[in-house]
Amino acid sequence: MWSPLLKPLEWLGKIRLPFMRTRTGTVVGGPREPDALGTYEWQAFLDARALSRVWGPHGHSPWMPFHCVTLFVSLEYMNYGIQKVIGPCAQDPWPLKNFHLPAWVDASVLLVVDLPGPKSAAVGAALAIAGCDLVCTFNNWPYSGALVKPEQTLAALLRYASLLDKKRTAYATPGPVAWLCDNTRLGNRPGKPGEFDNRYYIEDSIIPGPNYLRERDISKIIYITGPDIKVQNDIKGHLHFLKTAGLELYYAVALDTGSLGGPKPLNIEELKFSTTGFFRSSAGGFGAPVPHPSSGG
Amino acid sequence: MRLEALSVTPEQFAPLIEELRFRYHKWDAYVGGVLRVLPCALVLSGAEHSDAVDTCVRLHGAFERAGRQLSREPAWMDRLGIPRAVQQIIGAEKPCPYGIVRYDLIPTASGWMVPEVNEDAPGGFNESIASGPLFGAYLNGYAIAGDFGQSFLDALPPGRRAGLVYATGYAEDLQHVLILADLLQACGVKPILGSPGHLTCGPLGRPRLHGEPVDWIFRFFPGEWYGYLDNLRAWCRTAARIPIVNPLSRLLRQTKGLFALWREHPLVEEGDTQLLNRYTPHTEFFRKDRVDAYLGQRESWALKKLFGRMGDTVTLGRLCTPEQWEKSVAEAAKAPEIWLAQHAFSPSPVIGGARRLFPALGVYLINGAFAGYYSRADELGLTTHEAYYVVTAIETP
Repeated sequence: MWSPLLKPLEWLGKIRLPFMRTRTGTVVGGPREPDALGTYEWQAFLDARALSRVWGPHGHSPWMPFHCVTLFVSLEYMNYGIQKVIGPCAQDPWPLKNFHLPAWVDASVLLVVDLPGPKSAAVGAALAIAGCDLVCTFNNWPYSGALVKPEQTLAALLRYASLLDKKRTAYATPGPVAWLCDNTRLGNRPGKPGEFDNRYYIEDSIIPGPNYLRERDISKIIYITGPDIKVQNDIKGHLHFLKTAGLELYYAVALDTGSLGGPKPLNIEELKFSTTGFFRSSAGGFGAPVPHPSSGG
Repeated sequence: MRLEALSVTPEQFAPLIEELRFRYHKWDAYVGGVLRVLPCALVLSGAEHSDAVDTCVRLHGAFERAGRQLSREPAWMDRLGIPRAVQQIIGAEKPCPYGIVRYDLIPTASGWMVPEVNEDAPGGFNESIASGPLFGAYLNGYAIAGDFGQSFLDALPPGRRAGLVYATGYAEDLQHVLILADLLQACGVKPILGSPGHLTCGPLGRPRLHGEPVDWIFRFFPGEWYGYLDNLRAWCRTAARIPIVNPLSRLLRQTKGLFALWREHPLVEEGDTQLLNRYTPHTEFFRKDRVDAYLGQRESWALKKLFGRMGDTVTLGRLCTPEQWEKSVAEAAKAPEIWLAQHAFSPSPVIGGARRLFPALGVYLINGAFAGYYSRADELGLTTHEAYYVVTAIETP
């Protein structure tokens, strides 16, 4: 009964205005927002290399091979107008102005900052200003309507880019170093056909092995989490392995006051994490449209 | 042909890779944490270089003539699995001399072998364009042949606004389009990037991308996906009005079914048939009645889809277990019309120090003339997106 009534509407829906098809770009922050310094110097970092430089490991850092550039190079979209709306986020995702580096963060420490992307960026900025080296693990491509929203992280990276450029300091030692992770990376559900599925997990290649760490005088891993103290499933195996190999494992909490509470010993059970069902991009990182099931037999 | 180390220290090589990633948009330099760019060059003698180019130019002529024959015969296009939507666009196309093609030559004991042609979305521009400026100084006196960037610019259709269409969901396609957009912008041609779905063209108006008029289109979007678009009429009108690089008719040569079709029907003259048979492995449309032969001689066969890229749908019998092969053959038997069986051949490895790799010498032709190399090498003799990129250099007299 409904079908004949719907046909005219279906037909109307197929009519296309011939003169314009709009872009469906991803919105990143606000182009009129100032950065953390209150300036518009963030515009100097709308370049993949420039932004990756301030957020990546120091020049001759041993951590360089672990730094992911995927999210940084997604900025290249903008140069040709695919994404017109881009800028820093309007507010601090975490009150880093109150931050003081705790005494327990010393040259023997590797921090895994595993918070929502923007918050990880803010904590990372505070740590970098205090001298921590940085490694970013943001390994997916943004896309309009995608399952994970790395554009929110990108907006925070832009907010602090000029601040880091001016204020970042360094230890003479490889540590302390902070791995910045987005704890929304695993998403809430798998992608459906036609959706852009950019969920990802922390790959083996992003985490150094125990010998590599020890040779650089790293003996403690401190997992920075939110007040809910939740360890993401994909990283449990890595942390368990490092602990089994003799590294000390702790957790600390990023408090809403802008400080880090802890550290306390972290006990973690070994967990097999399935890496199936994630969509790699052959340009590196993760993110691709979910294919429609074949209509073939 | 041999593999030689570049005269570069690890400290010099690291910044070159950074330059390749950021300036030349080669984002996939690392795959799974492994650097997929070798600090080596694939060195060809002058004679090998001339032979490779000459082979490709001759093959190109034969493929062109075969393609022309095919485009006149809808039944053959159906046989090749060309979607009806694409056939409509091909029917509307005005003759277009513009085109970028890459032939991958595999060395064997009996000379080059060309298992497929890449003329629909032939990737590798980034590395080809970067090879001279980045690695040219570290080649121990050898030379880079061709200049892809300059050849591309010299061969442009007329006009100051170019529409660059690509599969916007795929970062790997964006990296190819961006490097060309950089070149175009530098020479005063405005690049407008978008998905094929962003094209509009009224009955009387100009083709537009995102509402901006374009004088020509560069297409980096798989032809067989055009059936999913809802603006086919715009594409038909556009194909009739402005040049498209590469036109949709090039899909006729991209499909590996062509290799099987000329073995069934005399598509081209005897000389061309001999040439094509000499350089391409025996290929046949998958036949259910030959399943026993495929299963019984696993190591002698490869299974491929009519359309497939980056080795994503290729199964080489010699690289899989009997169980895996049986499963692949069974899958092909479910939809035989989209599968081909191709005779496997033995690629010859190149040795460089402790490395033993199987090269695929990628030869670019732009509008039929040599434009540069994009070569890869891998450990198994199956070139996928995980293969290593290796600079191609030519011995100088």
